[in-house]
Amino acid sequence: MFKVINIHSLFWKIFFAFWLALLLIVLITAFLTNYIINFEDRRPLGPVVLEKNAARAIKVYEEEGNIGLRKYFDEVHDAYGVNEFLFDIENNELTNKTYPYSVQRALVFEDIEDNYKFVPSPVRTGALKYETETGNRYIFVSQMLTRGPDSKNKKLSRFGKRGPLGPPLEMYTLLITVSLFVTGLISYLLSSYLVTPIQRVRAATKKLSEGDLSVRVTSTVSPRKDELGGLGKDFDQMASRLESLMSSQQRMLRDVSHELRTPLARLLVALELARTKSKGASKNEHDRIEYETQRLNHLIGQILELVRMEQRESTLALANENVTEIVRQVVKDANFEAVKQNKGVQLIAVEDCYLEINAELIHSAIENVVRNAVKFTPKNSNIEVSVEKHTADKDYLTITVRDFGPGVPSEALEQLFEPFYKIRSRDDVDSSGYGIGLTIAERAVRLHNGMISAKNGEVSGLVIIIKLPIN
Amino acid sequence: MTTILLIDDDKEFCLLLKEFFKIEDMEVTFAHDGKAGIEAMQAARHDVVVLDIMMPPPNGIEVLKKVRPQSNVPIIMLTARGEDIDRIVGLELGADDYLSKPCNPRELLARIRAVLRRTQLSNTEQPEVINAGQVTLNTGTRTITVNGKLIELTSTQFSVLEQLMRHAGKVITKEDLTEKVLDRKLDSFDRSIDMHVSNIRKVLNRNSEIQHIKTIRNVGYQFVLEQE
Repeated sequence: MFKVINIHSLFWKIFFAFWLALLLIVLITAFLTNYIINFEDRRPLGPVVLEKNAARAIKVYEEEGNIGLRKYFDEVHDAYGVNEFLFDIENNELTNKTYPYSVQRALVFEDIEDNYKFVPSPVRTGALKYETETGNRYIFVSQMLTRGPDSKNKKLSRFGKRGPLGPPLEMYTLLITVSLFVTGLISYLLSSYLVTPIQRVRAATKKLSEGDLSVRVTSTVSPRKDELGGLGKDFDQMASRLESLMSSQQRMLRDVSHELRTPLARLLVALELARTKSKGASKNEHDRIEYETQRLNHLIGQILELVRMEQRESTLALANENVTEIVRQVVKDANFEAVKQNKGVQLIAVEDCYLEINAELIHSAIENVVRNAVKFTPKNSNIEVSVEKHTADKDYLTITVRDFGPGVPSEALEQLFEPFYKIRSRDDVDSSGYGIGLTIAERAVRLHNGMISAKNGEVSGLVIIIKLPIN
Repeated sequence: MTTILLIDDDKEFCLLLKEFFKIEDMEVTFAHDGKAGIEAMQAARHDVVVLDIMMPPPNGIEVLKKVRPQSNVPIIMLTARGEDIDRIVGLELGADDYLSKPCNPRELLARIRAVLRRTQLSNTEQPEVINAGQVTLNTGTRTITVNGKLIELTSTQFSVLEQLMRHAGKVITKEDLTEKVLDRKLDSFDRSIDMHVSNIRKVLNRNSEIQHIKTIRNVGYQFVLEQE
């Protein structure tokens, strides 16, 4: 789905931000909860811990008597470094152990209502009044010794684990792994959910800008009921509107051009009649009318050719043709005409190359480019045409046409191939074109999956480069 | 007087052309749709027919399809500029020549004269009989026999075959053929001669097992004398 991982893409931004946020929330919550619980429950000499330990000790005392309890207290002492004592309600130590003064101090509760007491010094000591279910009352005292537990004797198999601090380390590793995975998955799903439709609309927009007006996102994006679905619907509406506008514009162009031909055909016959009847009078005017009529005819022909080319994509008839031969032919013909204006067209480098093309379209493309060059190159200069095979990243046949005219302002280079685009400022050159020849060339080359580009020459003039893929 | 049948739905264009051809001493009759055109062609013999392809149905192509099997009358098509498919189909169906509309009427006149010259050649020149391979061509009666069997060709096809047989055994270029037969220069994408040759081949092949006309790629055609 994502071939190139672009760290700057919206997908990964959302993904990482959301993942990080989720992960932090999970971990902070886990640690905080743990801390709060520990603070009350797991405090070594806190009432919760003390109560549990008291219950255990009392159980041992009631089942095994004071000898059993003594043994149990020794085990606890060895394992955890804690001295425990059990008193009856009259403050008599039930195992007859001697106990320090600090313990005695803990036994004295300030208030008769108090059940728990903590003495922080000299030795940390906790005391708890405890009443069993059967109604026996005891006082349990636990004293934390300064030295740590005796690690050799850590296990108390009889009573199970009695760790003073919550869950073990493995639990944390598990917690982190699971939350990494779960939050990662959620972030990924959320990211795709948000970004995929945007990517689809973006791809469609790109296609649209490349001229494919039939592109729609209905099936993939529009079923959504949210803002992105709305974006998809709006995109589709825009695309259909563009499509219908474009096709009606083309239809109009085509119809107008067709309709113009009828009066033009009549005009040509009428002109010929006028010529014959006037018996040579007003010959110049008649010639001029004929010349302008032919130009009009030529323009209409070009517009129709352009419109037809837009619709031709699917029905392009291809044949294996020698492109170089076509270039030679165009150069020969163009040179023949250029010589009359003291200009020339020269083939400076040639390589034979056969390609699957529509010869008529390629001929028209090259001819339009060369004719344009002839128009702008100054007298006594030669247009240079070259045909070369290129094997850089992809195999291309490159046809280059170079003139030595005034060139084109660099900001206009892009627009050069747009229909009816003309650079107005140049009044020193013949302006008899319509700015449609290069458009025809561009469409023809594009129909062959080729590229056409323009750049200014190092010294002067314009260079047009046609690239045709060699398959 | 030369008679021209003009089949075109633009009435004013027809009237103007009629006046133009009158000066050239030619008589124009019109038909303004395909159906009337077919009827007119069946009713009377014309020296040449000018047929507009772009008409409401039945259009020029359909008229051509209907009429060609019955008649060898020279037909010049008027096609929209660049509509190569009309041109190709028209030539394939046996039209003699084509011209893009709008056209200069002088150009149309030249085409008509070229077609007429081909059909009326027999009246001015000495009749001649040319024999090559299994084909016999008589320029006097404008008849062709293959293996003794009479075959039908249009006048343009006849002229193309005549040129090929006059140069039998030699290659004749498309340029030469176009100039000699159609009386004009060969254009870059003019397939007229190819279409005519292809139509002649079809007819010859129906009556003979020998390939008489050989294509020389990128050059032209050759009428083969003996099979190698």
